[in-house]
Amino acid sequence: MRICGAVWMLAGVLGAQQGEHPVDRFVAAGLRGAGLDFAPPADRATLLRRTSLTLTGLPPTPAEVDAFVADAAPGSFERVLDRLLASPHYAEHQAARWLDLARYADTNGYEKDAPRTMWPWRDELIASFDRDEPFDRFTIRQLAGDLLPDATTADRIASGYHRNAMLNDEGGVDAEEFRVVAVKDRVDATARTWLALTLDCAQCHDHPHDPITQREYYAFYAFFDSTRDTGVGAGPTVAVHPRAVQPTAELLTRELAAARAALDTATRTDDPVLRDWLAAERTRLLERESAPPRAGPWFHLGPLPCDDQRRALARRFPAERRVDLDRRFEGLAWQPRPDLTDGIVHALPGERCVHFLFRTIDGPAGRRVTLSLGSDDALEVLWNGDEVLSRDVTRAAALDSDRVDVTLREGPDELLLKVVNGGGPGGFAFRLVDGDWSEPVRVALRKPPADRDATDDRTLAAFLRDSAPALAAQRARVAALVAGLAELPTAQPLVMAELDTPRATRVLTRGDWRQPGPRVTPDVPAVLPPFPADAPRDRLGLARWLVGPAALRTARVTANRVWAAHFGRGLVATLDDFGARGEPASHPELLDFLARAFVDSGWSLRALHRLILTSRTWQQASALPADDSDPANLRLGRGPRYRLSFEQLRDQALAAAGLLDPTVGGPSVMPPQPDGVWEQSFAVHDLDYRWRTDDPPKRHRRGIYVYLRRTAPYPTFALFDGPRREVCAASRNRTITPLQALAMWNDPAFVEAAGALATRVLREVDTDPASARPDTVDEARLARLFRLVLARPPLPAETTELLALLRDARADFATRPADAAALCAHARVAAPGPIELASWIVLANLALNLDETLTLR
Amino acid sequence: MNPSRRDVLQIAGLGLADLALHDLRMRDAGAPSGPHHRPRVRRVIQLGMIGAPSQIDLFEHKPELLRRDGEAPPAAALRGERFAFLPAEGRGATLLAPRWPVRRHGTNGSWLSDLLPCHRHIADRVTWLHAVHTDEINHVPAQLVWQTGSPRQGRPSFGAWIDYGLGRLADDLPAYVVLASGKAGRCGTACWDAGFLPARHQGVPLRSDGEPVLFLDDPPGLGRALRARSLDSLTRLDELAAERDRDPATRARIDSYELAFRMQASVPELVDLRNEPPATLELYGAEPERRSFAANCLLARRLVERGVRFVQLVHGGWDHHGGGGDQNLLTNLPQRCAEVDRAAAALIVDLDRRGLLDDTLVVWGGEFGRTPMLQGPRSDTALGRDHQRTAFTMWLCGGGLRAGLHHGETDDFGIRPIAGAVHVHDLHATLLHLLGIDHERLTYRFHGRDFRLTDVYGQVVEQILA
Repeated sequence: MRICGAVWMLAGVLGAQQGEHPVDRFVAAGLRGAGLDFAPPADRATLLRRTSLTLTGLPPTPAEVDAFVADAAPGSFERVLDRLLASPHYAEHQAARWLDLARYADTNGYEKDAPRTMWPWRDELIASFDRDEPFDRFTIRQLAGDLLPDATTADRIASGYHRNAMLNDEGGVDAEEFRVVAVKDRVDATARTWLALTLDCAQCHDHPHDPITQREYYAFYAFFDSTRDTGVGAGPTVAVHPRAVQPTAELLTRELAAARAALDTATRTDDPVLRDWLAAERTRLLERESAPPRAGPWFHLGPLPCDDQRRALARRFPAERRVDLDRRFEGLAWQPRPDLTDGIVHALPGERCVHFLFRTIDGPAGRRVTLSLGSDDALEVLWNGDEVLSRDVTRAAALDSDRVDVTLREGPDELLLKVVNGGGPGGFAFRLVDGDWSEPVRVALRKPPADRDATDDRTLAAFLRDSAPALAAQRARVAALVAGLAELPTAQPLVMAELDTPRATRVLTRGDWRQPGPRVTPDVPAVLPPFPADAPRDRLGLARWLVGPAALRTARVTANRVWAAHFGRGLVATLDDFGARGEPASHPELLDFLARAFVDSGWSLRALHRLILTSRTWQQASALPADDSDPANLRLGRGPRYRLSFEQLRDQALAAAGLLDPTVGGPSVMPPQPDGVWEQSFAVHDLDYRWRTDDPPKRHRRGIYVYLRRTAPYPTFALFDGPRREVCAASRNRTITPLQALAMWNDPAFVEAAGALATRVLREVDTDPASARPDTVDEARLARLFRLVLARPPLPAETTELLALLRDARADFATRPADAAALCAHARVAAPGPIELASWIVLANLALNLDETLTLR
Repeated sequence: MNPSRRDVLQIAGLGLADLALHDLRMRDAGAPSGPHHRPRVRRVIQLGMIGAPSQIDLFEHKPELLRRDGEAPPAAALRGERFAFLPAEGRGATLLAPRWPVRRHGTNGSWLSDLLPCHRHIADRVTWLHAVHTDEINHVPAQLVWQTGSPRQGRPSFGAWIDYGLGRLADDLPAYVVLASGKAGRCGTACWDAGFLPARHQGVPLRSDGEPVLFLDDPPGLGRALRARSLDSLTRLDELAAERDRDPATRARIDSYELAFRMQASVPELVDLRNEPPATLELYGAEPERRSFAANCLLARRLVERGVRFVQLVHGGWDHHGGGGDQNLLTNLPQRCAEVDRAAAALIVDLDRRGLLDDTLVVWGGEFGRTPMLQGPRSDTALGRDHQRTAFTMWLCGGGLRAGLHHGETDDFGIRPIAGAVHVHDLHATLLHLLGIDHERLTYRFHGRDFRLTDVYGQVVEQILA
C-alpha cells in the first residue's frame, strides 16, 4: 500500500511541527482553548479491538492481540492498519455502512414486498471497496455506470445503486405515480449522500430553511427523470453469473465456441457423405412435389352463440358429430368459402361464439403431412372424425401457433376445425406443410447442384449443419453445452438505463404527479457551484459535477461520514444535512483539512481512514473523567465510545465462537428467525416465498448478508435500530431497550454462538490433571473466554465473580443433568459431560452480554 | 430478587419512565418531557377494524337509501370521486339498501343495526363520529394514514408518538403493545413502527403463537434461578465497568437488562387468562386458551391496568367486496360483528366498573368506510360494497369526551359529510389533546425537518370535548 507517504507528506505541507499529527493539531487547539488536554492513550489491547471493529467489523483474535502488544518496534500500529485495511472484511464492513445510505434490501417494498435480486450490486460494492476504487470513480459508477462510454457489465451493475428505490407490485396502481416516487427518492438519496442537502424539503414548495426553490428541486430531479424503469416491474436488469459458477460459465462458453467451430468445420458440401445425403434429400423433395396433396375449398358454419368458452369447446355440437354440408344447424347453413386462402390470418365474425371450418384433403395414401394452425381463441381439430388437437386458450390468431402431424388415407381425408371465441375479435389461419424443408431450402434443393448460386450454397450448408444425420454427434455436443450454460444459475440485478429520448420534466405543483407545471431542464441549485456549460445534462454529467466543480462539498460530506463511522458522531453531527437546520461543525478547519487531504490523495478512502486513525485523537482512552464537562465529547478530549451495530454484534459473536463463515458475497442468507415474523407481511401467502432457514456454514455468514425484507425485517436487525431501508439513512439511532437484552440472551443465533464459544474454550484450554489444579484450569479457560470476546484477560474481581458463578452453575446443573443436556442441544453443541459444557454456556452467554462487549470503547 | 439488583433500581430511581426521559434528554435534544397541558386521559386502547366495516349497514339510518334500493346513486354527491373497484364517480353502479334492520337505542336514540346487540348497552356511553374522512382509497395507504398520518411507510405510528411524548407508566412492560386477531392486515410492521423515532418507541406485538414477545423465553434447560444468578453476575461486572469508565449508557444498559428479566415474568403472567374469574371471561365472551378479539380485549384491559400506555388491537376481515367467499357482506359482516360486538361493549363496561374509563380512551373504527353502492352482481346470497373514503363512522369512549353525543352528519345516502366532518388528522389532534399534548408541539427533527403526527394539518374537534 502506498498511502503512508502521502499522509505525512500532506502533514508536512500543512506545517505540522515536531511530528504532531495534523488531525491532533486541530483537536488540540480546541481542547487547549478550553483548558483541557487529550486523555491518556488507550491500552494496546483496547486500541486494537476498537480499530479492528471499526475497520473490519470483527474483533481481533487473541494471537493478533499478542502480536500487537509484543510489537515494540516503531510503526507497529501503522502495520496493524495496513493489515486491517487490506482485509476483505474491511471491504465488507465499509459496504455494510453504504447499504443504509443506498437503502439496500432484498425485496421491493410496499404492500406486496416481493423479492428482488440486488445482491450482485452489493457484491460489486464490496469489490469496489476491496480495490479502494477512488471515490470520484466510485461516485460516477454508482450514479451513472450505465452511461459510461464502453460500460462494462460491472459498471452497469454498479449503477443499480439507484435501483434500490422501492417498486410497487400491487395490482391496479398507477405506474407513473410510483415512478415519480422513485425519482424523488433518487434525488433525496443523492442530495443527502453526496451533498448533505435536504433537497426533498423543496418538492412541494420552496425550501423553508435553505436557499433552494421548488423549481431548482425539479431541475435537479430532471437529471434522474429519463430512465427506463417504470415504478412497477423489475426491468431493466442485466444477467450475471454468480461468482461461484463464474469459472464454470467461462469454461462452458469457451467450449461452446469450440464445439460450434468444429460443427462448422465439419459442414462441408464437398464431403462425400454429406453430398450423398443432400442428393437423397433432393430426390425425396422432388418425389413429394410431383404428387402434392390437394386441399378442397373451405366450408364455413357459424357463428353459433355460446356463453362459456371452455364448455363450448368440450360440448359436441350436432354439426361436428357428423359433417353434412347440406344440413342446417341452429338456422345456419354451411357456406362454401373459396376466399379463405392458406397461409394468412382470416377474421371470423361475432363474439363469444363457435365457428366450424371444413375441407377435404386428398393425396398419396400413407404420407405424413403437417397441419399448421392458428386460432382466436380455443381450437379443436378433427381429422377424419377423430380429435387430434384440443387447445383451450385465449389468444390472437397467428400462423403456426399449433402444428399437428397427420397421415393421409386412401381417398379424401376430412378436416374439421372448431374455433371458439371467448370474447373480442375472432379468427383463424391454416397452412398445409408437406415435408419439413423450409422454403429457402426447397428453392435451393430443387435446383441441380450445378445451377446453385452462392446464396443456395449458404442455405444448404446451414441445412446440412442443422439436419444431416452424419453431423448428429457434433450437434449434440453443441446442444449439451447450450443446455449446460442455461442450467447455470444466473442473477438478474436491477440496473439503471436511460431512455433514448429524455422526458420533458415539469415542476409538479405541490409535489403532485397529476399536476405538472412549467417545464424545467436539468441543472443544479444556484447555491452550489455551477454546472459546466459544455457538460452533458444527464446522470453522468451530474456525477462528474459532484466530483468536479462540487468536489470540495462532496469530500467534506464524505470525510465527515468517515469520521462519524469511527467516532460515533460526525464533526457535523447531522451527517446528511449541512444546511441551515444542520448542526454547526465542531471542528470546521479539521473537516476542511480532511476533505482536502481526501481529494489530494486521489480520493482514497483507505488513505482517509489511515489519516484519521493514526491520530492521537483516535488512540485516546475512552473513559469519562470524574469531573466531566463534555458529556457528548464534542471537544474530542477522549476516545470514541458507542454501542455496536447489529452487524458488528452478530459478527463479533460468531467470530469469537469460531463459527463465522468468512465467505464473501453471494445471495443473501437466512439464519434462524422466530416463526411467524414473515406472517406480518402480505406476500407471505405466496407459498414459494418463505423464510427457509439455512444450515451451516450459510447460517453463520456475516450480518451484511442476512436477508432483508422491507415489511418484515430480520428481528434482531430491527431491534438494534437497523433502518427500514425505504429511504436513505445516513446514521442509525443507538437505543438501549429491554428487547435488545432478550435478543442477546435468547436469540438462537446468540445461543448457538454461546454454545460454540463454550466448546471452543473447553477445547482450546485442555485439562491436564497431572500438571494443573482444576481451579487453575477454570481460570485459564475464563481468561481464554475473555480474550476471545473482549480481547483482554479478566480483572481479578471479574475472575472471582465468574468463578463463583461457574461453581453455582455446576452445582445447579448437577441436580438436573437432563436440563444441562437440553441447553447444550438447544445451543447445537454436544460434549461427554453436559454439566460442564452447560455451565460454560452460561458463562459464554454472559460474556456476550457484557456492556463492554456491546460497546466500542 | 437479589439485593444488588434492588439497589441498582433504587439508585436508578426505579422508573423506566425516568430512564427513558433521561435517555431522551441525552440523545434527542429538545425532546418533550411530558404533557403540554392537563391530560384528560393517560392511556389509549385502539380497536382497529382492519378492512373497513360497513358503516352504512351498522350505524346509519338512511330512509332515502331504503326507498331507492337498486336505483342509480346521486351523481352530484359522487362528482370527482374515485373508488378502488367501482368506476370513477360510481358510473353504472346501483344503490344497495342495508339488509338488516337498524333501530334506535339508548336514551340518545342511537341508530344501531341488529347485528350489534351489545352495542345498545354502550350507545349512551360512547361518542359517535359519523363524518370521519380520509385521503386514501386503498387499504395499506389508508391504514398508514390512520396509524401514522401519512400514506407512505417510514413515519412513526400514533402509539410511538405517544410513547415518545409521554414516556412509560409501567416498569415491567413496554409502553406500546400490539394485539392482532382475525385475518392478517397487509400493512406489516409499518402500522406500529417507530419510523424515524428511536427504536424503543416501536409497538411490541404480543404474539398469539409461540413466545408472546420475541426472544422472551430463556433457552430450554437454563432455568429461571440460574438466569437470575447469572444476571446478578452480569450486573456486578457491568457495575465495575460503570465505575471504571463512568459511561451513563452502562447504567441504562444495566436497567434495560433488569426490565428484560422482569418482563420474562410479567408478560407470561399478563397473557395467562386462566386466572380471570369465569364471569369476566363470560362478559367478554373470551376463552383463556384461544387468542381471539374477545381475549385481546380482555388482555387490553389487563395491559392498561398494568400501566401500558397504548394498546393497539388489530382485527381483520372486514373487507366485504362481495362474491361467494370470505368477502361476502351477507355472510361475513354478521360473523365479524359477532366477533367484536360483545367484547368491545364488555371492554367499556369492564373499564368503567374498575374506574379505568375516566382516564382511558377507547377508539373503535376502520381505515375508511364502505359505499352505499353495490359492488359486483346483485344476488340473494352474495353482496358487497366498495371502499369509501369520503365519510365513515368511528366511536370514542373515555375521559374528557361528551358521552352519548352524535357528531357529524352525512347526506341522504351516507356519501358526503354535510356537518361535523372530521379528517383523520383532526382525530389525531383531538386524541393527542386528550392526552395532554399539543399536536403542533410534539415534533421530532429528522432529515432536517421537524416532523409531527399531523404533518401540517389537524384541528382539535372541540365540539366533542366535555
